[in-house]
Amino acid sequence: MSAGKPLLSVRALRTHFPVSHRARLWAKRQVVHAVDGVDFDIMPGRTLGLVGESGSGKSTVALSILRLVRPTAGKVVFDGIGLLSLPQEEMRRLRRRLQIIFQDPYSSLNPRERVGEIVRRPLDIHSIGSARERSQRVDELFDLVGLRQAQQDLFPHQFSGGQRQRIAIARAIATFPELVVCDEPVSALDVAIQAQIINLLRRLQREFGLTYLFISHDLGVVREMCDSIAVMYFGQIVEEAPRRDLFERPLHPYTQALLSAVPKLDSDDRAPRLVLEGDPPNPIDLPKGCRFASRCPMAVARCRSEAPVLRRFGSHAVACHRVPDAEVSGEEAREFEQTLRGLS
Amino acid sequence: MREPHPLLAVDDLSIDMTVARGTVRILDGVSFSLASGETLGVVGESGSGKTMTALAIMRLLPQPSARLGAESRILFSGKNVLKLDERAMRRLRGREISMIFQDPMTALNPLFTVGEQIAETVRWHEGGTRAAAQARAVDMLRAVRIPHPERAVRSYPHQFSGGMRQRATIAIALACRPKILIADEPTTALDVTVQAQIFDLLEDIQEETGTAIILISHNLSTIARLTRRIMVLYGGRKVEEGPTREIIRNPRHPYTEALLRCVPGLRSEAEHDAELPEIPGTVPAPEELGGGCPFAPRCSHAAARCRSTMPPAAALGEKHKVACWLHEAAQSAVT
Ligand SMILES: Nc1ncnc2c1ncn2[C@@H]1O[C@H](COP(=O)(O)OP(=O)(O)OP(=O)(O)O)[C@@H](O)[C@H]1O
Ligand SMILES: Nc1ncnc2c1ncn2[C@@H]1O[C@H](COP(=O)(O)OP(=O)(O)OP(=O)(O)O)[C@@H](O)[C@H]1O
Ligand code: SF4
Ligand SMILES: [Mg+2]
Ligand SMILES: [Mg+2]
Repeated sequence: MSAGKPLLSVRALRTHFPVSHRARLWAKRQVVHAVDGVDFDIMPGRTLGLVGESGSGKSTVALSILRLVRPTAGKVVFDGIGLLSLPQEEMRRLRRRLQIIFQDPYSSLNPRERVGEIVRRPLDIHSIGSARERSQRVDELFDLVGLRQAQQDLFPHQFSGGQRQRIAIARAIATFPELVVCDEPVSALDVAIQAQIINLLRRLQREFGLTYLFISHDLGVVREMCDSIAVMYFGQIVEEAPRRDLFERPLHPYTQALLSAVPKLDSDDRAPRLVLEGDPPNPIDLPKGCRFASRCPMAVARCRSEAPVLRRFGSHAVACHRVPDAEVSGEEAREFEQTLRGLS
Repeated sequence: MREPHPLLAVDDLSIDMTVARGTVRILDGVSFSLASGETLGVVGESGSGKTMTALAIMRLLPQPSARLGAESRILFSGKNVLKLDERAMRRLRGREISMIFQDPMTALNPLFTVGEQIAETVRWHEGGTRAAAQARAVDMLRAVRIPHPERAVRSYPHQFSGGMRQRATIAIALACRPKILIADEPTTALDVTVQAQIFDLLEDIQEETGTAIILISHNLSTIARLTRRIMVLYGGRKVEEGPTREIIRNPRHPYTEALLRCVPGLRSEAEHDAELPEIPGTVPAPEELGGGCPFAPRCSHAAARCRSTMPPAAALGEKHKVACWLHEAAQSAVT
């Protein structure tokens, strides 16, 4: 167990979106439970991976932490500061310490701005350093991410996808942030370019002690980047564990299905795969039992009537009725619940 | 036993593209063949020419900017499709050779139900009654494992999830039981569990119907499972071709080797803290290509000759071919 205080703690986070089209005026107002009770910690200098299928709520977690969408309930504590109740002005100032990198390097860069300006903008916004120091910082950032100084005068469309992602990274780390949220930063890139960007992010972390929340649906990428991994399914974390544990001893049936679906290189390796049948639930009308029950090969009657809670044993946590109680040390589970209660 | 003609033979395919600064050769002398019932994987980095190769076979290259090289031939069952008039080509497309695209939304018309779109394809190619076409639509949706197909035929594309949409485009592409299905990055936009479902589906369909498949991807690991044979493109050239297992275990072209090493997530825990192997630099733009090997600027083995002269294809064993000066000694049976 790592000592010290987490840089980021998320507790009982809920973000629900109203569904705009109501079938009938008098119908009950419907909501999408995009994030529905999420807890995690990230220690300084570490990387937590958030994986899960499309629509499971990964981006909404990221946006909620940065207050780019309004969470419905819960707590987000960054370096001891509760973010969700922070006045607008203070949140704005804090943004220099928390940055985000998006999936699509093209749409996240203003096409009419020269990329040198794009990277410099956060320094201007947060009034960091003198004009000369800002220019020096931009030069330094171009070096750090492996772009040439002469390229500062070009526009985003004059760069390849991988180079654009380098520009987005330079912009994100310009203000010396402590936490960088990476939302699918390499998903739009070719494998060869992915490797370059993964190495760049890891090098920047080593050099500057950055803390990452790293979102991806690609388990291979997550394995290269993360110290621990949380698996999301329909707005909730169903399993969380250190990297090695998760890959070597996945406990939740959904995690097992995810891992067995990862393509292996050697075509001889025909390990039996767990292929999911059945349909995912409707995010507006979620079942009262386990959200995975409709596709779960292990499901029993109890799964359909009662929602499993996240039980923690050591550093491994899982929410599934079928994971034997014997695996969970009662004391550790109680301890975990108490810490949870203490924080909320 | 050899068929008299392979199902598909692409011979010396070159494509010139008109761009602002003149004309560039984006595909240069690519040849390969496909037997019926076979699955061929096409791998290569972004911009290497995978999609253009596929569009050339479909005769759907962007017009008027793309021009085929004079020697290029594409033989389908021995007939040169490049010589067909547009009417004959329209009959071939969808009925004999179909294609599914990376983004399923571009292939689906948002204004029509999924069932109408399948039925329309069937009636266009095969005629028949509306009711028969509608029944085929239901069958196809069932075949691609869309739940409640009787209800799903009446759905519009936006009512489907990403995975269901891609399955619907597969249903349209397969509605007339084509002999060849070209799948251009069919699962790149999808989750791994859905990816696995789509690959299983393609495998089943192939087993049932004997459709030959050309599967295109930038990621070797996603297509290794489904193919027996792989062709590697780089900078508009075929740089390596051979049996999948042999290429995975013993890649001979430096690009293929580098590509295999940088697939994320395949290393052991012990290697985790070391840098992930990467290929420095980027794919050259077509106008930057000189006369040499297109990979030379990024290749750790590159010598002066690599930069000046394109290496010819050398045969390593019966089915394995590589275009690299390192394997010059092996150059005997050159194709
Ligand atoms: N602004 C919004 N208004 C309404 N619904 C939303 C909004 N943003 C997201 N959703 C819904 O919330 C759910 C979670 O979406 P989210 O984008 O967080 O998923 P994700 O895990 O990031 O998926 P992906 O892998 O596709 O990026 C989805 O059902 C989505 O449709
Ligand atoms: N309409 C066009 N006009 C000019 N050049 C084009 C056009 N479309 C593609 N190209 C060029 O042709 C080359 C091959 O492109 P192609 O789309 O076949 O690559 P690809 O291997 O499919 O890449 P990706 O993995 O990104 O889909 C590239 O250099 C590309 O820039
Ligand atoms: S609780 Fe039941 S349905 Fe849910 S994952 Fe576990 S076994 Fe499957
Ligand atoms: Mg997202
Ligand atoms: Mg393409």
